[in-house]
Amino acid sequence: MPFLEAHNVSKNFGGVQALKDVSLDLPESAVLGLIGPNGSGKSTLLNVIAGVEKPTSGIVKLDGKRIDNLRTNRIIRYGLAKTHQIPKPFSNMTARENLAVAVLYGRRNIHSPRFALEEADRILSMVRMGSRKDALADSLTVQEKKRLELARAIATGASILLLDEVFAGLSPEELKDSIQLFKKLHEELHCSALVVEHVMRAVLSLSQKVMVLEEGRVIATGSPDEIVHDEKVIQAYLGSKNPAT
Amino acid sequence: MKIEKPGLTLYGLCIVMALLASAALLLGVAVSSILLLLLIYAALAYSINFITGMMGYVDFGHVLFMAIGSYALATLVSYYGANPLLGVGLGALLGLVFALGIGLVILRFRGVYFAIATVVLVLAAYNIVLQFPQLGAGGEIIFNLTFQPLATYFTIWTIVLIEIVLTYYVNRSRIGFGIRAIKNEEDAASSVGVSPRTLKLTGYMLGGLFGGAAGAVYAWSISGVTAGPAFDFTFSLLMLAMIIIGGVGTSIGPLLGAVVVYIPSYFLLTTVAQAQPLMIGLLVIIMALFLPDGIVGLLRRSNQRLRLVLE
Repeated sequence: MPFLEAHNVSKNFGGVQALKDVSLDLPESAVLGLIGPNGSGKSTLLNVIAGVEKPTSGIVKLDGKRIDNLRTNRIIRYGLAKTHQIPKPFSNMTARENLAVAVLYGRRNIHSPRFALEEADRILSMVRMGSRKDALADSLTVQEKKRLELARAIATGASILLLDEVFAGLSPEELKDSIQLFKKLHEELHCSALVVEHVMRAVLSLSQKVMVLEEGRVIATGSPDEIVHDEKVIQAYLGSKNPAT
Repeated sequence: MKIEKPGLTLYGLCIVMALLASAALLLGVAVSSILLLLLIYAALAYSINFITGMMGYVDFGHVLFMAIGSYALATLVSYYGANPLLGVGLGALLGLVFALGIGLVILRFRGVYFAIATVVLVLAAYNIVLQFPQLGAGGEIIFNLTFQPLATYFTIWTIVLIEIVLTYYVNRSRIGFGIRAIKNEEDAASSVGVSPRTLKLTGYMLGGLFGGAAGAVYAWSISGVTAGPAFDFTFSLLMLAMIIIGGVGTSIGPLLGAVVVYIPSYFLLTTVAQAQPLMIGLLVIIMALFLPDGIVGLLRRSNQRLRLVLE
């Protein structure tokens, strides 16, 4: 029984068809990688699933219940949270306050700010940012802001995370560290994740399955190993071997 | 909801309020009439603080709620001979109801579009009032009440006290976290489960409620309402100036700002009245450039202990 499923999702922006008949399923505690060239519709797909955009047609279900007609802040209650490609921290609030908002308004619907702040501290040390808990989000480094995005999504109590390029723009050292951290979190939290990523090293080492989008269409699905040897995928990224065809 | 133990800020504010109460009782009518207008200013500052201070939605038309309250009290007292306290109640209620109706529409706008909408609303409301003979048709509604300075004074005193306590606890509560998140990054707030629509409407309605109440007391204190001055843009600007100078969103800032704006304007009014908007405008520009978090921000940065205590 798949946990998150999308059936024949299409999305048009004016005359542009950003997604064409995309279907996927994400079983419990699985990690599905989503790759594709720029403008292939990866972020749009995440936005549609998370309720930021409404699909033009198609169905998104979570645990068998349709969520494609719900707004983002309702979908959170079903245990699905998305990070932003460009981090959007609450700049004038401290790191722990950022997470406290997510704890208070997330899936668990907590009412005590004191409890929420304690939870926030716990999650911050889980992502190894415990020492930065009282820093204003604005003053964090890019890597810390990305990590705060991830932590905030976790703090909502989500069991499905949609991660939009959380590994982009990191130095090789930071990347290694982040991949390690993500693996550890995935084990501890038993959550499933849909990971949009340009950094191949990250996506291939994290995902059990990888889906490739090109111009809004799914052109390949398979294990990381199958994907890197797939003709169509190589063509999409590098162009055809024979320019004449 | 679990109520947390109050901090020093709230105790401090309560002491100031107690001093204001005893000053009126002990020092007589002359002093209390000076303090009355200060408290009306403070009530207005706290009311706009719920909207612009906490949520960051710049409201250039907050005088609208003040006018609604003024007309509610003036109509009730002059046509029906009602007790002015009933008028204050009606002013608050109408402020709330209008904020609900207006908020449902204009809170869909953000940033400068919201600000423009608030300005247009005041112009529209003013022109509507001009059409109604019952509302003075652009003239004035005057009523004669026996001089009752203490009743007026303690009505506005109570309103300010309620606003202070409410501001303090809203800021500390779950709602306060949600509203601050909206102020910082509205889209990110909804992506972690906050419902901006509900929370923004809540803040806007609180602003309308207390704006209406303060406007009603203002009409009571000057025994009437006149269309032009009631919708005067200067009031909206003064309210904004007070929270910017004091410290937006805080529980202590609006009172500080009210004092800073009111005291010079009181003394200048008798000498060079024109200098008042000029001076306040200059002060706001200086604050916006160098002290965006107002006096509260300045105090917080100057001292580690104050940083933890001031709310």
